[in-house]
Amino acid sequence: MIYYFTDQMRKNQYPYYYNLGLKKAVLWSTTIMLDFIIYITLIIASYHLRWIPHSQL
Amino acid sequence: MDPTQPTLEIDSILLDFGQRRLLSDIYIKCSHGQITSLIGRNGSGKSCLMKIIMGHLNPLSKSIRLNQKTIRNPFPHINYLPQSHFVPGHLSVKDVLCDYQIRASEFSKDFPDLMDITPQKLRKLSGGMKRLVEVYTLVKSEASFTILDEPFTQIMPIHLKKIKVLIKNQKQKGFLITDHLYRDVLDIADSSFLLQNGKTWPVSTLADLKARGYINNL
Repeated sequence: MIYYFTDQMRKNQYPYYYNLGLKKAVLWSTTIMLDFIIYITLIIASYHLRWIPHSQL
Repeated sequence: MDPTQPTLEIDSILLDFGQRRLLSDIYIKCSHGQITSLIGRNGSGKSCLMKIIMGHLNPLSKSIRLNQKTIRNPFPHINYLPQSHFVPGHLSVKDVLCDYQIRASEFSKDFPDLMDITPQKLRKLSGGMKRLVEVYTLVKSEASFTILDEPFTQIMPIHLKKIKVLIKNQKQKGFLITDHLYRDVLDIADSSFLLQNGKTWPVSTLADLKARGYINNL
């Protein structure tokens, strides 16, 4: 869904990146990889920062 | 025309849209330091041809050759200005120039009246200003050939005159230009083609365009 709507909304911007030598696959794989790293980082951070009641410490 | 100069040749293109054959007998040759223009009616296939050269549209067959060698990926040899605005709005004029390795001072020198727009974001600029920045960026970029699809539309006359001079002075690259402002295009072009009924016809004067039915009067 995110891919479809972003692709449709921003398809006129692809030539900007093509002219710089960046293909669609490179743009999307970089974005998805960054997105995934942020997702994993937030999961790890939320595990370490989770609230534990005093009674259970 | 110097035979040792790099050349871009486009031919053997077959493109169908449903039952309709849009492009069939195409031959275009561009050389370094030369401006080639492509003129044609709406829907004649000019933009499709440019998209085919850039690999954005797949025809039944094509032959795109740079120095007589077939190229599959146009980067870094050819860059392309599409009809619509293509620069992301969140970028500033300075960012765009920097991405394409052009000094902002060079832009300010060529357009002193626009010195104050370099820090502004593209989305804050008018359509004509955006187009000017886009055309300027590609004209000054380092590619061997630049394809410009309707570069003059939206640009005001005083800037259009300057852009035409800049294109004419870029002797280290070749241009393929299409625009409906045919007088401006013919004014700077070294060779011109009319795209009609899927075929390219060499033209050089307004009389040729009239004879082919592109214009009614001179």
